[in-house]
Amino acid sequence: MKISWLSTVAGAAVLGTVIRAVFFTPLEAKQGAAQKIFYIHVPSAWVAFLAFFLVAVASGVYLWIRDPRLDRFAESSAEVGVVFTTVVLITGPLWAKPIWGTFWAWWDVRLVSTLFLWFIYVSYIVLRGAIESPELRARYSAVLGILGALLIPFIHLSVYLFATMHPMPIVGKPSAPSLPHEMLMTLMLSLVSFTLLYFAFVRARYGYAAERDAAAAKMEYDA
Amino acid sequence: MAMLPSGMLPPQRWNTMPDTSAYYHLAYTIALGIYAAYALSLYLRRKRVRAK
Repeated sequence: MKISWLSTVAGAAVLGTVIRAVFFTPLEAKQGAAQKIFYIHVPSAWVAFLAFFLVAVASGVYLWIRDPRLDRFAESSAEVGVVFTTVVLITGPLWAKPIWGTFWAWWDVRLVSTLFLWFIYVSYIVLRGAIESPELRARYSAVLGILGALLIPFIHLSVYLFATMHPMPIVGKPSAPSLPHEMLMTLMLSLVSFTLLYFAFVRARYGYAAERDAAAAKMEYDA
Repeated sequence: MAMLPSGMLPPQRWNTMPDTSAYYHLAYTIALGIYAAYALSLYLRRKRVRAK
């Protein structure tokens, strides 16, 4: 099976980002090497939010025009979003342990709401596996996909609304980013390369879903 | 404090950066491992559906 050009470009971009982050980005004076977790944690969180936002958009349009391709896209984006959120939920505590002194704080709204988002989209995948009728499955999961994405703005704003240990936005804030140039460049590169990785994953996952549905339809026709 | 030659800082101030590299290595290994495992799972699932 041929590997697509998008997967090749995304893989090379992620590899380039990791090499730049590890070997060519300076260490932060107070946190040491743990600060470099930022270059994986932040773009993974950005991609997870993008993935779930696109699930909601595709689901909303699906409920309107009932095109199965939109349901297939939402299914693919949700699964990829869960993978990226898993990375966020693992890399965050690995940064927090040496910096905060603890892996996790249950009272921290940013952390707990991100875990809640992960559970919602894991249940989205479970829901899809539990319903046999394709139309019913698409409709129910579209509703859950839209409702789950309502958490995204809440998670983003949680650091402003509640007392939290999670750092405030460094780049995505109203004023100019407060990062040295080399670090900012590495972060920007990581945002681009992880976004490419998202599209490569969704493309491959969508291709799998399309072939799986075609094989199921053929089996049904033959029977 | 003992007098130091001009321009030198006391040794304890040279090395204030904590050694957090174990967490950094672990985070990168797990994250890249998850992405690689997911890419492999997509490849294998697609291969299996094509073989049917």
